[in-house]
Amino acid sequence: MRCSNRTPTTVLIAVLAVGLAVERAAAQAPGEVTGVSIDSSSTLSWDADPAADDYSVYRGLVSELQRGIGPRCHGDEITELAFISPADPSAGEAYLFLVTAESDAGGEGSPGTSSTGQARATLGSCDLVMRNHLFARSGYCWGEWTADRFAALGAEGYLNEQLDPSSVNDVSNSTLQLRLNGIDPPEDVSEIVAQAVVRGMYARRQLEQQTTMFWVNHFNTNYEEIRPYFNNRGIYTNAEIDQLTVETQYREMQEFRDLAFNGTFREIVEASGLGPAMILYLDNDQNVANRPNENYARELLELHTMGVDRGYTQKDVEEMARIWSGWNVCKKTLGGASDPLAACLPKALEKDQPGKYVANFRVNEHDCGEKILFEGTAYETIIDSTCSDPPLGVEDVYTALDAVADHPSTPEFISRKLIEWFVTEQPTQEMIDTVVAAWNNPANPRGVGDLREVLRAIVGLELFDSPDSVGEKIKTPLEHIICSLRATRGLTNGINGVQTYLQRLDHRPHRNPVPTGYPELGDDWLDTGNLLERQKWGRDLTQRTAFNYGTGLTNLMADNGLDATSPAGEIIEFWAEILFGGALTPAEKQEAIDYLTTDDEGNPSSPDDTRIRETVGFMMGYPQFLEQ
Amino acid sequence: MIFHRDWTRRSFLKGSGLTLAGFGLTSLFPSSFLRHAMAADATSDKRLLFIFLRGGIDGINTLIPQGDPDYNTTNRPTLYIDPLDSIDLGNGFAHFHPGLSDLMDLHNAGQLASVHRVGYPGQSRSHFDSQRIYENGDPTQTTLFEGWLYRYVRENGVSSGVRLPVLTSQSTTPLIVRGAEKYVNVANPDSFDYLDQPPKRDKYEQAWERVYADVSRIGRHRGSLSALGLELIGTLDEYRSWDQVNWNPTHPNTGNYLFPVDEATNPNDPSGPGGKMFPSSAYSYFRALKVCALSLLEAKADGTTGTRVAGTQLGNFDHHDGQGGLAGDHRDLLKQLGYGLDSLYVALSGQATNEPRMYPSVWSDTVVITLSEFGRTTKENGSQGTDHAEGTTVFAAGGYVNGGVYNCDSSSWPAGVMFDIYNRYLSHATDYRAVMWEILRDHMGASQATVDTIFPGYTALNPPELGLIGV
Repeated sequence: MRCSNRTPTTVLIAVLAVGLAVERAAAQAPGEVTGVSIDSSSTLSWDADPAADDYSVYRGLVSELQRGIGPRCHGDEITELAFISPADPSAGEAYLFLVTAESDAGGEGSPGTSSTGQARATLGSCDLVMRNHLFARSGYCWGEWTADRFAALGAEGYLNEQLDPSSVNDVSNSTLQLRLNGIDPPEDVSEIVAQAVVRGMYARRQLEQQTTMFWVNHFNTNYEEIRPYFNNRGIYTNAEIDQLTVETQYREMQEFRDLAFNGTFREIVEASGLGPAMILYLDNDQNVANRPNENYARELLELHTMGVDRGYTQKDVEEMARIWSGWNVCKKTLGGASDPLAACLPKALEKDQPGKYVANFRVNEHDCGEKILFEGTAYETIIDSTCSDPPLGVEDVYTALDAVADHPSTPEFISRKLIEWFVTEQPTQEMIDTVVAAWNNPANPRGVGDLREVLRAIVGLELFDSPDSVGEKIKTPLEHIICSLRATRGLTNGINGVQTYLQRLDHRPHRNPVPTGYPELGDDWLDTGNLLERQKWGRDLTQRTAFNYGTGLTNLMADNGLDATSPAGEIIEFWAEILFGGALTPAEKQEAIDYLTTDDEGNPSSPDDTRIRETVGFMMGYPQFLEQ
Repeated sequence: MIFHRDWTRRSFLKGSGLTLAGFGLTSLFPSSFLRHAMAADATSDKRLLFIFLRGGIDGINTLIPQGDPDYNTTNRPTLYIDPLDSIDLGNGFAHFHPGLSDLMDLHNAGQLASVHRVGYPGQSRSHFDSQRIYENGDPTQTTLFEGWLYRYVRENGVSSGVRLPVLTSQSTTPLIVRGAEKYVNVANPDSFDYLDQPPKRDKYEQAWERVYADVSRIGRHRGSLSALGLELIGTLDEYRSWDQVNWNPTHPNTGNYLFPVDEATNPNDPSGPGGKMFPSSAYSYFRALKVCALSLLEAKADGTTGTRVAGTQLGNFDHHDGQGGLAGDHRDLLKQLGYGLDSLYVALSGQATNEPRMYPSVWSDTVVITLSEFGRTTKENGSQGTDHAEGTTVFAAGGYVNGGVYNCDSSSWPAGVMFDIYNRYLSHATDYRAVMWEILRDHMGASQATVDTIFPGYTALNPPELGLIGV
């Protein structure tokens, strides 16, 4: 051990690597990491170990070590013999560092023993912590198939596969198909909300599902505000109204799902804006010449593309409303469904004739005069008057969407939101610039605004899978609920139980009245009521074993060779690994062991399956289970 | 008499969490949390209860300017209320919509201020922008996510010594009380507790308390998670002691339950939905109102219990279509509003019957206010509704409120004012910040020095005030 004489103090621990990886393989573990030192610019370095493929760097506070809390992952999969750790501890604190060597065949070396002869413990291993971090950020946390796939492909291979959802076979995913059967396509709003849960829980295409929910949230629509349109037709039963309403939201969701990986931003914003769900939700059906309704026009600029106060004016909102004037929704024959100028079915035939509710352009309700967007700026776009040939007014929206998608505020704003969703609550300009550069790359398979390449850039950001990101975000309630299910071999139809909690937690996709969508920043979710319901949810879920609302968590344990007679410490380690990548402090583990091995009065008592279920629910109430 | 559990133990445990902060992690705790946990006596026993009327209430069909000839069937073909049907407020001009009949006790007692034409300069007609402005207290900052009521609490030390200085009851904490320090929001009053009974509940509650007190790593949210976990457990202790489920006071005159929270407490009404006075959709609002009222009554003289600021919301005022006149959606919401305000008056002034707890009156220490993001268009639209507009109605009630009608009489309601803005909208005469600041200053005892922090730019704006609070 060496101490640098910099202030604040840094303690270095070169780790004697011993063969920990006995469970995985008989292969030789790497040898001792020697020559660890730190220089004045806070660069750690060490000698090469010929048996090592890479190294893990752990960092902790001396004050925490004094409380038995080991250092946590600080640098993962380091293939060089140096690591820069520039951050200084706060006043009065000191960092300690620990380096382990790892080989692909033999796994990670032991953290060794301290000078007093005690085994050193890290706060979880880099491999597991970072694996769980990747699962949480790219999908809905640890899951059985996901973990197996990751083990087979490694981090990079796993992510690349997830970026190409069509290569991930969810058709043969019989559990998913079984659960979707009956709710896909949805017939009422509870079934489309159920899809968010069922797909998140069972889909192998985890990144596709996370990304789809990003766009569903970004282009928020609200079932309750679409339904009156179908109700007011006066020709449908309640069940038909429910089905027709949810069909508009299902259609946009599935278009987002496709375009998120096979389309451009320009295409996805059009799919939203010209979808009947958005037209009805933000009142564009009431936006007509001389009596403008600016609701959609404003949100298109403020929420969907450029961001508030980022290069447009009130005049642009008014011009945009004029551009969108005349667009509403009606039922057309299947043949005419994609033609905004095709005739609507007459009322007498509306109910019974096959067809579809789609965007409709009413030439006579459109403001045909000239419009100017971003006047006087480098992005000024003039849309000529169409009064001499009014049907041409249908083109206004396409021209306007081109202009908005091309405005530099748009890739900036969307990139920032994506980074907030997937990476960090505090995007830096450098991160945004990196993603925008990918957005603007004309060599993209789909050119500028290629959403898959944008996503590739997001997950390629250094911070995305950096130890510095671990636990820095808060799971949304939907993520929290799905993550709990996936950790416990959850059983859900997406309705029973989960929708009660989603309502109490105020997170119901497709049912948010606020056009901004649900917040992504932790401070917006964290309050006492939200914490209470999350803690209750974990305990409620784990008590249950029903097919539509429960878990198979004891079966999951049994498949891993554990049952109620196993040592309590092993049971808790098993769950700590799934839930937290093993990153629990000794005190936190001990609380779980105590819970498992005592009765309600706190007296020693042998665990049984009921107690195991309760204990897992208890562990899901820990603060770090809210983090991701 | 209600039995209160001693929660000193919780205070002690909270303190032990803070001791751990001595390990150099003090900065993880919001400074106000420290103040909250360590400070001594309460500084104020004044109470404020707000009800945010979401969606933008049609002030014109609420506090009706019957004296204005523009209030007529030409402008409002289906919405117009005949003066013979509305309630004459005695100034020869203003009437209440008949849905507000329950407010007449308060009005006649001179403890209800009905203020018309409230708004702010540069009125936004976007729901969420304008709600945000009404809640963040600064029309120039539509992206400020900190509430003016939060700043009042912070700047005036209201949280000193009080475990629950602020309590809201709605789906999530409203912006009006949001800021760095977190206050309790009871989203679901009947289920605001863990699932089990002791001893099982104690087992995990106490274990969680130890886990949350022990800050084991420095993540962006770990400090607030830790504070939140302890806050929650402390809150549950006190909340349980209120036993809100079993508090069902009634009105001394009618015998009706003050807070219809279920079928059994919903008064019979042959003309109402299902033979009841209120639709079942109103229960969550009344549940919230009940918890808010109870939290104010539980604010005892020793200054540590109960809350000082409570609030909730009543939604669905966004009547773009099918608003209704004498009957319909708008009327039904007004009925809930009027009944609720009257119930607060009865409950908080010690008049309730079926009330074995015998809470003393706190009415002279209380002000109840309503807010709404905007009024609605003067002219009815093509779908028997109204659209987003500007000036609207605010109510304030309380023992020291100077009751009466403001901005709705022949001198304060000039001809044509309903079409003042863009020939469509009722202009505002009183800034909402003036109404709220008067109440904070003259009732809640806010220091004048804090005004520009609570409402940025207030001193420079110097908006006319109304003198709503008496002495």
